[in-house]
Amino acid sequence: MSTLRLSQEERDHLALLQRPASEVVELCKSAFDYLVNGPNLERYELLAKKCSGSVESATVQHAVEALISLLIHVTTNTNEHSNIRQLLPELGEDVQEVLEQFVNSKRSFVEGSIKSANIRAYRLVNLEWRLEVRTASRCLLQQSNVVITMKLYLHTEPKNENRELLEIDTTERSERELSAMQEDERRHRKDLLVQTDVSSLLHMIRSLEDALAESKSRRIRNIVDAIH
Amino acid sequence: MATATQSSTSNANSEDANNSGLLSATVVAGLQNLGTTLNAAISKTLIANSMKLTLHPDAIIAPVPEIYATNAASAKQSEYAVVTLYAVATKHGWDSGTLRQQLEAHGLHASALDELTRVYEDNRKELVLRQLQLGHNFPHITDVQWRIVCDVKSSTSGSSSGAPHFHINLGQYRQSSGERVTIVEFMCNAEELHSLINRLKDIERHCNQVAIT
Repeated sequence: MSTLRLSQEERDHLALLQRPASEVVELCKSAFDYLVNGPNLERYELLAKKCSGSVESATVQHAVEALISLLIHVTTNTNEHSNIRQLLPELGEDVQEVLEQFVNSKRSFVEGSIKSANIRAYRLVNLEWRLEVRTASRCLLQQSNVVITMKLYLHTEPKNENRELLEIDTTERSERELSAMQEDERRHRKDLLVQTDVSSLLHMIRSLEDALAESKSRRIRNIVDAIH
Repeated sequence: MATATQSSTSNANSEDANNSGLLSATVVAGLQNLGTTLNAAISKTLIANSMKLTLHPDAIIAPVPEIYATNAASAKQSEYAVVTLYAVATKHGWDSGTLRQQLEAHGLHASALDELTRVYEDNRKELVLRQLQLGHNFPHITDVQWRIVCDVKSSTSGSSSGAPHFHINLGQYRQSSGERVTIVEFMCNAEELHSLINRLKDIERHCNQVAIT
């Protein structure tokens, strides 16, 4: 069983948390924002000014990053009872409570991302369909062939929450940011047009239902429980 | 009544006139070689081979050297003519009667005419199915494969996610070789698979509704 330890550098960065709980809450909110929108230097500067004592914006940024790191450490060490109080005993009790809430509220978000982050296969995000009757083609002038055309939207982002991040407001983004986002979409998204006929559709439904039923069988459930 | 008969006759005439232009002089000459320049037995083999190659381009045809022994150029032209004739007839939805009429208009040898009509009638369905597949189509899914996977550990996490995942592979079998080709592969969890099945059932329901109306 691995024990959770923070590096000295992380401890140094988290030193900023030794202050009133209300200010730590602000830092945690910035960490949430980091998860959704990435770093926001202006926000750190503003936060640095609001903090009691003379704090630099870089120190705030380091603290936010260290909070994210703490969140990942605690989430990945599921064997260990992630006890913030033991990990950071130097902090005040109210601050420890804030941190515990911070870690627990985003645990499933981070867990989902980390566990499926290593091999990113495409996932089906959406399916659009159209029922068509092909009435003529160059090779066959008279026909009535029923075809189901489907558009499959695939995405490599593993979790729903993360996918939503890609639909962020683009109005206040610079050209450079927008082009980076489009590049990201090109890399992670794939739309595919396919077709099928009615009997193949029925075959697909039957096969997929078999798969779903099999996954709920006692045998599979036992195996999953055993390795979990 | 008389007017109706007259108009239907004139329609048939104009259809004949339209159809007669569908076969080029080269094709007509190739068809006329059958049973004349090429004897009846060779013509029969040639028609059978041309049909086989049309339906199964990858098929292995037993070599028949006598087809090309004496009149190779005419034989080649006739092969081209037979393939073209069947492609045009299928495209325009001719029945064997219409095909016979068309051929009669070009003064074909009686034995060739009978053989061409018989072979067309015997293979009409296959010809239609073959020509349905020609041209532009989106990849056509005819098969689905799946596997259920549960992770134990990974490079990014020390523990299992505790839920099985489905790898779905949609593909098709090539008609000529029977080889399977993957069209798309993706993964999903139980919830996502359930919603995919519901979506497909939704399509099926709409297909049924359209069939009833």
